[in-house]
Amino acid sequence: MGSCRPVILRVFLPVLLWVGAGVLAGACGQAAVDEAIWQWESGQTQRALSTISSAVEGREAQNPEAWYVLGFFEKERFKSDERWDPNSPRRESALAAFRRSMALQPQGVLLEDLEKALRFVGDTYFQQAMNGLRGLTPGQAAEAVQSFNTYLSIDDLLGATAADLDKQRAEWDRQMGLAHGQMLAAGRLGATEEQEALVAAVGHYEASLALDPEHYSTLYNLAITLYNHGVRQLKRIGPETSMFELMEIQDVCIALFEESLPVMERAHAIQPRRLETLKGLMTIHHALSQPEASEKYRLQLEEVIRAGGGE
Amino acid sequence: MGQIRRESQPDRPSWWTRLTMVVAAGLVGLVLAFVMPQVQRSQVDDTDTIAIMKANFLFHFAAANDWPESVKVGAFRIGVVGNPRLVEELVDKYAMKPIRQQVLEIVSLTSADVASGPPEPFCHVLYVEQGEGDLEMLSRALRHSPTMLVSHEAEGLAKGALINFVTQSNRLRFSIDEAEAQQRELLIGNKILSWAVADQ
Repeated sequence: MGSCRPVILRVFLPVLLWVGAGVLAGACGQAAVDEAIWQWESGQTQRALSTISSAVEGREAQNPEAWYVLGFFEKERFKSDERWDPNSPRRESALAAFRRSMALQPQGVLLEDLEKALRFVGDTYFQQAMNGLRGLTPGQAAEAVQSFNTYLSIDDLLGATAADLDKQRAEWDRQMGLAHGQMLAAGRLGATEEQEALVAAVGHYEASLALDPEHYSTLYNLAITLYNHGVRQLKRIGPETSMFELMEIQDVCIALFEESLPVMERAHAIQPRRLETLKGLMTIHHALSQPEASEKYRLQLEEVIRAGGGE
Repeated sequence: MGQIRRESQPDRPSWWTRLTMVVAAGLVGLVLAFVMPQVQRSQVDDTDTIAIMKANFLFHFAAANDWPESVKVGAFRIGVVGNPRLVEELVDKYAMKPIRQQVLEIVSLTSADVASGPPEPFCHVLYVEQGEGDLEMLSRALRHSPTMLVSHEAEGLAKGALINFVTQSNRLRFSIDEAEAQQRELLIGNKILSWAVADQ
């Protein structure tokens, strides 16, 4: 028996101390989280932020709740202090903290709260992307795309299926194609910007079609964007246009018309009685100096109208 | 912590927020309802692209060729038989432009105007749309006149046109009967000759 005490002292006591220290450290860590919350709720927001920031940099680095609380504080300050400023670094900090929390696999109520908070932040990015889309200008496109990508990455984090994400991506690209098309149609761009807008419009429509190849509107609008861009070039022809320039412009336009035709044909194959597609085919064939084909679609158009309108 | 969780319901809305969200959702729906039909409303630009091309070609035919001194007085006239959209394009962009010392005038004609011969007043360039005039008859009637007869139909040159529009690889081009032009004392400019293609 007498030899038991040294064994306890030498073996169990260090273990007990180690476990005790761990429990104490944990308690202190959790205490830091609770303290931060208490500070926040008593209006000491800056101190709360400082407390929780220190905690996640130290002992609470693996505590999903601590990261959630940090994200929550940042999110609230984004709303109150920065008044939803889309360029707010607070929102990015909140998102980074929420991501970290999610990576630490929270459970139960914490997970539910975290998902709600992430959804909220995701919605602000979505809204920002939509705002960028409306009345899109050349400088806004990259920012709108970035906002949408962030939104989509949050949706992905929240467990959206690949099909859901693809559907949203296809719709987004279609809307971006349309927005660029409208920017082109407004006719207020310089030559370089115009070319970039065309490339962007076509790129977005093609990206959308890669995910949803049989989408009538995407096909139709892509064909229209290509064709109308060609017509815009032709409309610039005037008395000052030399014969050489005329031939060059014609080459560019015909290339656009030729690119537009098979796309419009694909749209037509999906909805053969759509009036705008029939008119589109009639017009494109005319522009390609193919009067017989143009006449064929003109007759079809008339027939559909006679039969009571199209789809 | 519990309170933070409850407060995290900026994401869990109050009745006022809920009301705002319902209204916002309604607005989003409304916006989408407008956006979606807008996609359908995108329209093909039905500007007559061929008319734009032809108008510019005709202007070049007027500006880069040469006519006898006898017709270098008064207005320089381009007559168009049977293509109102081409007339519109010419009037919009080219009418009143100088052709050397003359001012360009556009004359809109119908097939009836040329049914019994060349139109009055004299046209320096006369474009006849396919099926809108008897090209062979007109050519015979203009045999001794310095009118540049332009057509856009199969075998247009064989039927007496001096210049005939043709389609090559979906592009609008033109052929020239240079010998016939010389007979009518019309000098075809080098720029025009260099872009002409062989008769088809």
